[in-house]
Amino acid sequence: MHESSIAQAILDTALKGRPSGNARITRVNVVIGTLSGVDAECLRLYFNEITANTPAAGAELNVKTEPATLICRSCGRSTPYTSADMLQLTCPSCGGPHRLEGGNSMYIESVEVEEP
Amino acid sequence: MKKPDPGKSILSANDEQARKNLQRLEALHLAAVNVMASPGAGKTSLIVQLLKHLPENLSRGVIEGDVAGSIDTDYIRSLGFPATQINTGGGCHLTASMVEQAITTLGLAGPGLLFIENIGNLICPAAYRLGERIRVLVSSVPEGDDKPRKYPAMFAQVDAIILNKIDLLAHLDFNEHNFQAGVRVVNETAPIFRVSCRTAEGIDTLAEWLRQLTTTRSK
Repeated sequence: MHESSIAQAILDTALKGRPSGNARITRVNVVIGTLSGVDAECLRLYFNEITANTPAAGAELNVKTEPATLICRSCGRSTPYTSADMLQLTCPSCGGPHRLEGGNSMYIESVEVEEP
Repeated sequence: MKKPDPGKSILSANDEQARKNLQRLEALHLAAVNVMASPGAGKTSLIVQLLKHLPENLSRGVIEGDVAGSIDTDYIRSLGFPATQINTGGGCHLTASMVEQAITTLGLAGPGLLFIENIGNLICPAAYRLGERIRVLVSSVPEGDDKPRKYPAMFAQVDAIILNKIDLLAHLDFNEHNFQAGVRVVNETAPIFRVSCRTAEGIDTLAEWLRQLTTTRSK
């Protein structure tokens, strides 16, 4: 359900951003943070459904996943974190406490269009 | 092929409506509290305890979000507090436009606090601003101490974390140190309030913290 409303928001934003009303959308490039709670496959599925009979029919939804970063508060060691990883509380190098940064992005990077 | 930049956040339409809701609530002298949690963590029990423990001179009301039915709204009204129901019919989170209508229906005026009980879910509600002044997360002892590590986005994006059902600590293998360490990885600043809605332990402290919101304005 979550992905359906995200897919709709992507379509609405992409349609509004077209240079002209005749332009057909061929591809939408989005960046989705690993902590945003959005499943890319599910998002593509909904996007394909809702774009039917719109100027974005057949458009490809390209989802780039943005990782978060685990940073050690003691030694500063930083490692990328995705939701598939175990969230480690402490640094494997020095044992210091971790903090998690970033990974919340959810934006449209670009929209590719064809004009008749 | 052209590549127009259509602008940034995918949820900008919701964000914009949330800003309007916030302005409207500020004009009404109401501070809204977006209460999020998994189903059964004790969102309604917490809201009811706070309604009872907040000072009488503050106006207090509730917007209840549920997939179906009005069990919680009926209960809150039966206690003499204003409440209105949003049913999402399967939707997993509230949106700012749903809340816009509910503010009108509720007709509450401040100074006071408006509790918005979100749909029980530790994923999607984090992404949708509603016009709230603050966001709180209720996590309960029976859910386990690993929840901050399993749902980092939700724990990261709230202003306070309320650990509920602490009366059960003696009966369950809940490690508070693990819970707090997990919270601090994703959220360095949110205060953690320990409460039991069953015994009312810790409720006064939380109520006082929330009361102070009504003496300030949104930044």
